[in-house]
Amino acid sequence: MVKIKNPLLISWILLGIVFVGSVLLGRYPSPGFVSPGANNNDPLLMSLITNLRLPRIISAVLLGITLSLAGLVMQTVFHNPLVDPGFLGVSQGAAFGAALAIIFGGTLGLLVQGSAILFGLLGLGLSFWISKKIRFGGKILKLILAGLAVSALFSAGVGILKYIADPLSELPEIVFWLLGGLWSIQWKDIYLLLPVVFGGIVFIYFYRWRLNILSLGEDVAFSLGVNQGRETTLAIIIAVIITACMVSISGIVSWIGLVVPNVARILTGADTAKSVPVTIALGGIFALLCDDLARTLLAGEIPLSIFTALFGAVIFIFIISYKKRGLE
Amino acid sequence: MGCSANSITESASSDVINRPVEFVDASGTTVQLEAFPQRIVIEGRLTQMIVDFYYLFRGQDKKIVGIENRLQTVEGFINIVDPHYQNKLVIEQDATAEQVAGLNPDLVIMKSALKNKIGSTFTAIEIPVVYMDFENPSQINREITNLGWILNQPTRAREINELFAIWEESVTDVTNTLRIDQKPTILLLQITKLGDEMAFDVPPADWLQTSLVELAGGIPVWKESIVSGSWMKVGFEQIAAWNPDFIFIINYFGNSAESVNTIKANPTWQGLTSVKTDRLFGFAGDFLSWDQPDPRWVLGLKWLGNKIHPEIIQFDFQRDIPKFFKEFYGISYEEYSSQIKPVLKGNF
Amino acid sequence: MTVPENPIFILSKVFFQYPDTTSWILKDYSIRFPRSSITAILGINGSGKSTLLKLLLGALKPEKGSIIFSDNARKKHNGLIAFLPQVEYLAFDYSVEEYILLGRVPHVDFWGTPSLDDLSKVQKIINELNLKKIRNNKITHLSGGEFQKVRLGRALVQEPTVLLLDEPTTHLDLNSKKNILDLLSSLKKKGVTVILTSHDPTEASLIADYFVMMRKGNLPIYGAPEDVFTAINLSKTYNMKLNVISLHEKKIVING
Repeated sequence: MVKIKNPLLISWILLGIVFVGSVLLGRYPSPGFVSPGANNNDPLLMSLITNLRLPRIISAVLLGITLSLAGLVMQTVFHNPLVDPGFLGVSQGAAFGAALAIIFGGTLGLLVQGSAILFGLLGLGLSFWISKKIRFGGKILKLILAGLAVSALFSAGVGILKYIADPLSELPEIVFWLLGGLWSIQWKDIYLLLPVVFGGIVFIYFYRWRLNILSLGEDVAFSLGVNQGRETTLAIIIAVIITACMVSISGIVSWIGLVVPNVARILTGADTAKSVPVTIALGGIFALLCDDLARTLLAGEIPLSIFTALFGAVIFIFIISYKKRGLE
Repeated sequence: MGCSANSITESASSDVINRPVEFVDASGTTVQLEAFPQRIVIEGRLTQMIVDFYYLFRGQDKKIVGIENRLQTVEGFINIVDPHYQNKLVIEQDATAEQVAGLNPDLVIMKSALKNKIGSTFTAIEIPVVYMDFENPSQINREITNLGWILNQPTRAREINELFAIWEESVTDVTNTLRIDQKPTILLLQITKLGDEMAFDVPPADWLQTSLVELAGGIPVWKESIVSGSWMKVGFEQIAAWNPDFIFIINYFGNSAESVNTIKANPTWQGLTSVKTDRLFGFAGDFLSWDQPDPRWVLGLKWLGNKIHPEIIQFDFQRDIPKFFKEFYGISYEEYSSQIKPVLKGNF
Repeated sequence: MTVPENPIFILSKVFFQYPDTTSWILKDYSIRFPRSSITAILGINGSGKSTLLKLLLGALKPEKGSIIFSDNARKKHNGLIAFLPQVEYLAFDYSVEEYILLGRVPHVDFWGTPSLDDLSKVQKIINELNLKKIRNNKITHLSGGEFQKVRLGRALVQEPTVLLLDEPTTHLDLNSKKNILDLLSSLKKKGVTVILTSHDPTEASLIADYFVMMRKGNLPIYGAPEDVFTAINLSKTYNMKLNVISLHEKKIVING
């Protein structure tokens, strides 16, 4: 554990600062920050901030929170700090659903998102179903193996879809979606997402202390009056639903769910009651900073995953070399 | 059917030229032909555009035994000059050399970018390949000349290149005299729709689209800052930061004029100078949009030049378009009216 | 044989085998476990000691027969039975305090976090078990004896009626063994029922008020020490010739 006094307070203050800074940052009127007073003279700037920047910043923060919390839940439940929220076939399933909709869908409004959520959940369902067929190993191991298989299956499917996609119109869309990006976010996307994602986040927040029990042994949990199987399934389903929802509008964004919970744990220790609130703040900060770069660094939009993977991997290397004692 | 006997049988007389023919193709290879190819196959990406240049040579259609039928194949245009065109689309998309070999071709034409991939598989089984890129005016000039050698039509090749030069110079003679401060800022955006989300891409600095803007006497605002080899996404904030004098919307999958209407209705866009001064236009086209590496690029140049500098560059909707199709393809006014005019798109 | 009055557990004709196995581990068990005392379950490896504990816990259900837990007709499981498994796999490095606090789960709302009252109960246990010095240490970095006490703390802070322990002193040094045994003895006075498994009959006899001796596939031998803690029974249980000798009022089991 790294000793910072009150990581909770610091991380939330930092989130506030980064949020305000992001509102003032953009390509208009020129790349960089505008001063808070500039709004008054420039109605276009006001319009840009209210209609484009704000929804995008808010969804970046939501993206970071969602993936980080989902990652924390998965890591706790699977007793493994190297787990990414999408690994139970959810990410690849959502990718497959989106690619399918892009090629065969046409112009129906929410088709890509709906398809991504549908296939993401299907991936989870398949993982559960297949895990029941496996004859050896404990429940956790079975789920991990099934998740690997289902992910591989959908990944192959995505490969096929990329092959048959039209290289001028559909393939670039698919590739851009696979690398993640918030460039098309509007307020209406947030209204649609918000109930489900917010509900999931609130659930996890209030559940944050009891979540610890899901990392204990099965019998010990039983003795504490916890139906571990049921609560684990519930936690996984909620984590997956919010992940699938977020992924459906942002595309696949990797590394956030893997890295942020580990950083939070370094600051707060293993107790999820403490790490959940810090994870929320850190996740928001990380995603927001990456998206700020994605939309401001160059004139063109850079896919979000490029930054989350870059910074995520660097932080990850730090973590694993710093942590002298790892997990048992 | 809508064809006239004249279009097919009219053929320039074959010139007597020395054999073997020798020229340098788009990949930098020196090509030597012992005899004039009689069984030509056209393959690879952008076959539609290679075909459109090929058919500038009249009466050479019988020499084509196969064309790759890709998703971008446009129905209805070449049919006007060649009623047997459909029968030539016998090669499946991404067919291999082995599959094409069944047609017994003695020459294959494709883009130079494919040389190391599919191109080399043809040369490996001793089918000669000539590479052609039509991506800027000087490449077009070279490829037309080379086509003239291949088809034994060097005179016609010279004619075609002269035609292109005339059309091009009718615009550049004027725009070359403009000073920098007389050139407005231009933004070209390709619009794609995903559901009801609109996305905008700008073309790379070295593509024909960017050159078109410069030749038409405009300054492409995106040219310095784009680092991509292909279409690059830009967000609205960046578009607002550029705030160009003119915005042209390219739509490869629908009518650009409709896209313009959608954009104009969007309140956020109404703050831009180009929208306020009514200088937001859908790029013109017929079967193909006129911004692409296709013979139509000179139509695109004239149309664009007129939009940017209406006082000094003329574009006569009624006359210039049928004139293009007559001069380049020998398509009559009646054929133009009944088959091409109905599919015109964009803001004229 | 004295039959316990007001027993805490009543097993009636209990049969149990694990799925995909062919023989019964527990065959026709009818035992009454005495309340507020210490019961030691003896047997060799594989005789079913841990299985019996888990059946008492309720984590396993018998194939045939019934197990009645007197305080609670097993409709709601609310932490009245605490459990210390033989080995505990730790995925995360909680501090001693955080880990013991987890024992308060039965007393905290589903959506809640521990209250001040919960925290003070944890402190109390920490003091009673002499863990104050190490209360901020990580549980992954404790000695065997320390960790065992910590686990005991987690179980006790539950305020259980029954404490089930699977081989609580195995792998501990002599000092720690004594520590744990003394602690278990002291629980009796508070009315807690202690049921533990052991592979050391001598040690078990130091504190046990009641014995259950298991042999796989056979009926168990059970009862008060004076009735059942005999050389014959022990020899049958461990499949070897054993003798019991007395020394300073304590019993010692040795090779016959």
